[in-house]
Amino acid sequence: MNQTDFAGALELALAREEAAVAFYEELLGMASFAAQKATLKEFRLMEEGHVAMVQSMQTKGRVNLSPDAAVDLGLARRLAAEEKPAAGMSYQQILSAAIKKEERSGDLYRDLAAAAVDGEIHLVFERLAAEESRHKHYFEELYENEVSRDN
Amino acid sequence: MKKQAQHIVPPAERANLDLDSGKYLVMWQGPNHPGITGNMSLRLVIEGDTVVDCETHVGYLHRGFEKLMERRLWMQNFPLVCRIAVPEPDFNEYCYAAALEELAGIQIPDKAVWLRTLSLEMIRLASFLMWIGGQAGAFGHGTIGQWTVTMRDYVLDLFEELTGGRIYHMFIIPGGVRGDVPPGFLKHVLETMDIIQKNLDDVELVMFHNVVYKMRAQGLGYIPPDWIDHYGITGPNARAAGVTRDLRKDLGYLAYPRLDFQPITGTVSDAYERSRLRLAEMYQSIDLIRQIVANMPSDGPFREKLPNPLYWKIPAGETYVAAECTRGEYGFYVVSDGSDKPRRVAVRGPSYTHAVSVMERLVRGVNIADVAGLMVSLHTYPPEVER
Amino acid sequence: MDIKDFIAPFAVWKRAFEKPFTVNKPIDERPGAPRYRGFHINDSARCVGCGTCEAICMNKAIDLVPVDALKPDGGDSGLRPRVDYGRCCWCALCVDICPSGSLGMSNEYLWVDRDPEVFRYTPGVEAKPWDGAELGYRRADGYRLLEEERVDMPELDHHEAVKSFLELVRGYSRQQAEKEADRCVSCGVCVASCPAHMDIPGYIRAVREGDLEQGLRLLYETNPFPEACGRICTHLCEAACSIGSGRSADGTPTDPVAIRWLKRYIADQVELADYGKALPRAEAPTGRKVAIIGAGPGGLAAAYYLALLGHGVTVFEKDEAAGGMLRYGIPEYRLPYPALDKDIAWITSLGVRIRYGVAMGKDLTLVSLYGDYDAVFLSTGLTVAYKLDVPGDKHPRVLDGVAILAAATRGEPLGLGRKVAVVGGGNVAMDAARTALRSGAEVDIVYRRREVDMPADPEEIMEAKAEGAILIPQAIPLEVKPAEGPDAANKATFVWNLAEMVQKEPGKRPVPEPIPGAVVEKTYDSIIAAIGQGPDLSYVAEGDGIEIRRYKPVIGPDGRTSRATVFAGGDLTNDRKDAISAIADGHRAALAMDRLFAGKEA
Repeated sequence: MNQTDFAGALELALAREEAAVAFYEELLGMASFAAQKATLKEFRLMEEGHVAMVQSMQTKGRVNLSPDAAVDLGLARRLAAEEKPAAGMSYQQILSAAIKKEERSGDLYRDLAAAAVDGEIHLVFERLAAEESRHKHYFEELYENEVSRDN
Repeated sequence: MKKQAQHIVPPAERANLDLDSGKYLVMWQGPNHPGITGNMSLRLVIEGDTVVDCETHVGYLHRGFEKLMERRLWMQNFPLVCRIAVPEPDFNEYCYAAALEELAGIQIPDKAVWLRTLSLEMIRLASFLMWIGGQAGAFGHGTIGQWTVTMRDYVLDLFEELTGGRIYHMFIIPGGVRGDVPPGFLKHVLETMDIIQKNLDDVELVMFHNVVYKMRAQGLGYIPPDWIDHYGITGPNARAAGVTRDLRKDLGYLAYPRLDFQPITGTVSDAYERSRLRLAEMYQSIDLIRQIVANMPSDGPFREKLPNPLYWKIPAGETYVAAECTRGEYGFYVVSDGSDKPRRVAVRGPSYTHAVSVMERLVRGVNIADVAGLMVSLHTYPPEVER
Repeated sequence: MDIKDFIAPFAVWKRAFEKPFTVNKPIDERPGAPRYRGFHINDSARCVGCGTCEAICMNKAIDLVPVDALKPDGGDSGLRPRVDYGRCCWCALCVDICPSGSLGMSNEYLWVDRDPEVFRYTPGVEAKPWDGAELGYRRADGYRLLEEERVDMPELDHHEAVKSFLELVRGYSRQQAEKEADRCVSCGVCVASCPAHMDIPGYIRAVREGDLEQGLRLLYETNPFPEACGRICTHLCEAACSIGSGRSADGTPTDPVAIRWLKRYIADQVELADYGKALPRAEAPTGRKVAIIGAGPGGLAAAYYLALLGHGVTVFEKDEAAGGMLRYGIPEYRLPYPALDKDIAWITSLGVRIRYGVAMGKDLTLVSLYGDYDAVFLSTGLTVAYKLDVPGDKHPRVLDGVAILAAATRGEPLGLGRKVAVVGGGNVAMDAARTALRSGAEVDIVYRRREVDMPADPEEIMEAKAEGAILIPQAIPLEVKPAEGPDAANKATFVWNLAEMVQKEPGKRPVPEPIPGAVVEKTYDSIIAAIGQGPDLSYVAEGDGIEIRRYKPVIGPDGRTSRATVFAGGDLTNDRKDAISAIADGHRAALAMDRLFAGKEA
């Protein structure tokens, strides 16, 4: 994979999003009851949306993402969740895994942006990092409001 | 030119007059007439310019207060009662509040006792100031009214400052009063008393040392002493006849036992003597107000906390609370059946006796021109006749 | 007569040379006195639209009217008083009684207009020249028609309370209850705020009038848990109460009516044996059968109202006793078991059958219920305690708060040790802390945000502190480490990072941000996690036809899930997560099922 040109950068992003879909797919395989499945399917759908978004950027040849990163609520850094919950996974475990996953993607994009020599490539990765931060923020808020209600 | 006033006692029985004889004229004085103290009327039968018969007619001002009160909460009646006697609303407020307090077993704070007394003496003065204007005016001396109604307005200014209202003060509320005196108020009271006293000196000189007033008022409307108990005459009308009857002394309510005063009495209750006596009572009121200002405690609570007025129930019972108003005995008879509304309230205003019964008899034989002066000399308020 | 009588009258002439009493423009130049009772003013932002002014007005000069700009919400009816000056007598009793203190009078007395209709207006809403007038009638200090302080509730002394599980709040005597009930103005603003829409003014009136059977009847119209709710209800009603909307002379808020304690008073005063005299009996059996999953307040409320309507009810409960979180989540010093048992006994007396020890998914499936029952109500609550979610949170000395409370209910030994940390700031955390205190422990409550952010009831926080718990706020859990030193096997070291609160996003609550280096370590015998709970929905299979979104069955406004005969409610679906909301859900679902059955029959 060549991330030094625009097409290569998007290629990498696409692979990353597809891996995310596969991540939820794998969890779905382990899910045993309706509540888990419904939640994982919903999150998978979000990642599928991301795949479609990157594909559309490939077609149009430009990145149309907001540069505004979301506020970091700081959960990813301290949550201890193992990345792949087991069969009986609770809502907390799913959300925790999702937050971690978004954090990792964001970190990767930020690293790539820092490494990019080309200004355009730098911008692409920066925007992708911002997009991941927004997605992470969404999960963080869910975690704060529905899981960690009392702390 | 010395002339001794004649004190004629009108007959108890009405004369049997043949109104179709052509000798008599039936004439209505009122209900809208400047010589009538409020909305009532006199059906006069005159022969020449002398009244030979009279029927008093009331009913022009009936507002049904007593009945209205049976359908309102105990506390809701508090703004209603003041309207029963417009020029002296505070006596209604006091009697109603005191009756409720007696039935419910409530002791009001001392500060409230003094403020109530102050308020009652101030309104006594204001009421007399208005009356004396009417008395002088009825004999053609309008100037006095211009002076004294101004003085009354100065008292109303004081009421406005103390209570927020000029005519209806709504200050004496069951449980106490609605507020302490505002800053500077007592000073204003004393200043106003000085002004009024000075003006009363002028009134005394001009009105009571006046040949016209003496000639018309002396001997007019003579109330013989044996009528006092017969008709239930109270207040200055009775005291002018030498009867020492003053509820402020006799009942000793509010702060009156702690004030230095003696009931004022006269010798012969005619229009002149009664007006002199009321003038003296104005000076007495000024003196009492000064005593109250001097003796009233400067702080402390002014109202006892009562239960929620929306549900306040008063134990079953009945009571009669009376006070000495400018015209005599003013009283509230209140019956509670234990509910949140009065079962019955009956108001005893002295004007019922004075304006309806006594007036009807006194006017016989009087010159038509003196009817207005006679009526004012009894100091009656038709609003309290009709509750 | 003497010569003086002829001469003296001429003295009036001296006045001709004196300054006249009259003034040229008396109206322009004479403002009303500072206390003048002039046109009304109303601070619309302070007014709560309770209508007490309307109630006291003996002239019926005041009407409460809807105001477009205002939205009714808890504690504000959205109405404002409109004054009709054709009726007003300027007595100002409305000002005297106003619970919020918003109503006053200006010292303005002049208002001239050709249109008679304008003299009826809504002060504070329709602008007038005298709005905001400094002068004018206000009720005097030390003069109030309503009682601003509530009757003190007798309570155990905190030092005494912490020694046992005796009920802390002792309850009102008759005299105290009637005095407290007298503070209510029956405005009814509270009714809208109550999830169950209880007839609060109605039952308070019953207390005032000593008619407790009537009071009980009114309680049971919308809430079959008066003993429980009379003790532990989150009392949104009291937050809405108009009597609590004012300011006392010293500036502190006035006390709302103790609505919850009055409810308790009614239920406490009527013996269970006498309930039958006051309360309705079940209607004739309809032949319909309903299965209810979970015997908590939501499930049993549904059971009560269904049974009342004549439907056959079977409740399936996994535990050995009914009550759900009321029994296993709330310690007995807040809700003694006899009180809860009384509520449940009346519900079961209507023929409600409870099958204990039946766990969904294990002993019973939803599909099997579909065949046997006409409708199902899911009220399984939140039974899964969320983890600390920090490294080391699987340490054996990390316990879960709900489990500790349940163990205390069952009378099992808690084995918490001497030093206990409770992590969290909700009611479960407070109850766990206070339970630990009662077992003789020293307790730290470690909370991630500030005390004001704590979701627990303020009185629970206050009581926990009064009983000796130490509150450590703004502490972000970092790690649980094995302890060192003697007896290390029975201890754990809790590590947290002190935080500062940072307003990261406008309009949202501030976020705790770790202060670099401010890391604290402390060794405890037990660390109780009480950060939140989630549902156990493992019993709902995909084929059951119940749509679930984010671990919550999706329900319509009447509590119905995507399957027509299945309803859900209580903590499982209700974000308020309190007993009264669960009870309201149960009532709502019962009525919806009844409509469902009626529709089928028609």
